[in-house]
Amino acid sequence: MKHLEVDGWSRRSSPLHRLDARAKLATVLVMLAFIGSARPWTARHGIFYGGLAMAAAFASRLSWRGLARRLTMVLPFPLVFAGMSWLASGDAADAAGLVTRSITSAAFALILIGVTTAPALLDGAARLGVPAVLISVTQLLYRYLFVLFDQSVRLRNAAACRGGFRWSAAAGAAAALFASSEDRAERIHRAMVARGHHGAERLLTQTHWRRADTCLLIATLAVLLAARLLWRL
Amino acid sequence: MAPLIEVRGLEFRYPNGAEALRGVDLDLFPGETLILLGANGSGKTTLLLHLNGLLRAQAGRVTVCGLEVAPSNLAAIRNKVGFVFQDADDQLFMPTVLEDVAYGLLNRGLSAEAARASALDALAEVGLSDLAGRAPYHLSGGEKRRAALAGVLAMLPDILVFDEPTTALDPPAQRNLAALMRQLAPPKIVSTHDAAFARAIGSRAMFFEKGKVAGVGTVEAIIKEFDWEAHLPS
Repeated sequence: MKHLEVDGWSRRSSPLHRLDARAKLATVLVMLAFIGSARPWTARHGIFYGGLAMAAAFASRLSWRGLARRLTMVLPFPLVFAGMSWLASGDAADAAGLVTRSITSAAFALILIGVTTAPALLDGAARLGVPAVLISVTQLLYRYLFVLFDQSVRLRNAAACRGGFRWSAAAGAAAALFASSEDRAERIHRAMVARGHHGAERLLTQTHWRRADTCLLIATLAVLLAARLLWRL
Repeated sequence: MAPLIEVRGLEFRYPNGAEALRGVDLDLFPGETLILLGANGSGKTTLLLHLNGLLRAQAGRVTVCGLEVAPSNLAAIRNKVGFVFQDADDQLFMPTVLEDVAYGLLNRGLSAEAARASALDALAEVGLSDLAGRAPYHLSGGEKRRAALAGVLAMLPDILVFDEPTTALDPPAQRNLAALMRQLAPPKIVSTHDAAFARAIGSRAMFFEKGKVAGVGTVEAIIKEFDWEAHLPS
């Protein structure tokens, strides 16, 4: 269960880990709104928001190498879009801005899930008023995505033991992967239902909104507003 | 003595057309451990899944503690029947052992404090108190099985259902599990392929063949009648 590696991060201790999930979620949403609305995006923006992301990473006490490794997994997606944008407009600076904007946004999202367990994050979203059906779908998506990943690892190992993976067998392997994942997902769902699952999940340990949570949100808003008003960042 | 579980004329066919159960009758009485023996695909797991409404009878009737297994009774029935699944990995889906054991209690509406206390009691009962904060994927096969059992015991079920509990367990883990199961008070239905394990915990046995009950009797008699001993070539 590789997803528990990220869950493992979220179980460490740091000032950010101890904050209420709602405060962290709201702060990241505010941050993403500012990053998304910065026009035009320049190198100064990259340095400013990148600096904030590094400060958050420092406060989270997460592994720099682990964060960097996961960010490189995100990199291909903005690179593709930036390449397409460059080809279409011929504006290299705009394309570079797209990459740095995406990476900075991804860094905040990654730090958020690195300092908050998935159940706590979803509980925080529910307490912020996100509709229950969305929470439920996200919970199942989260769980089943990793079921899919686990099954793919098993299939890959089985293929490796029999001479390795062949592209010509990819379609059959994909079909087997989805069929076995569906079976496994159904078994997990049965186990949940057998213990009274009815859509919503409650947590054993629920954080409470404290002064530190209010401070984080207000300080973030103040810094971002000041930067936007004073330096157009 | 009235049976706690009463199954009459149960029939079930999977959507792919496979006929899994063909008129099964079964009774579970207070205090007994009923063993279900039979080959793979003989219908044991399909039958067990009917006992707390995970599958619905297409014909016939299933009654648990006087309640018919029907949509209106499912919550009450799932409180009475604790189900330990074949693959513990399917049953352990929360980030820590303690959270997993408390999962059903929180679903039942207990406060976080009460759920934590009951979950810790259940972990103590299966000897896993030290591992409460561990991620389930860090446990051994035997520990996973006991953690899954703790998640069921925490809900104080009236009846325990085990689907092939010795799968993938080494002999010491099988011995520990058998000893633990013998200590558990609720009546049990256990599906297994393992004749030695069946002898160790069972008071009565049924043999399944092609979706039908082919024989009922003492564990020893059923093992002999259906030659269910692993006579491996030397």
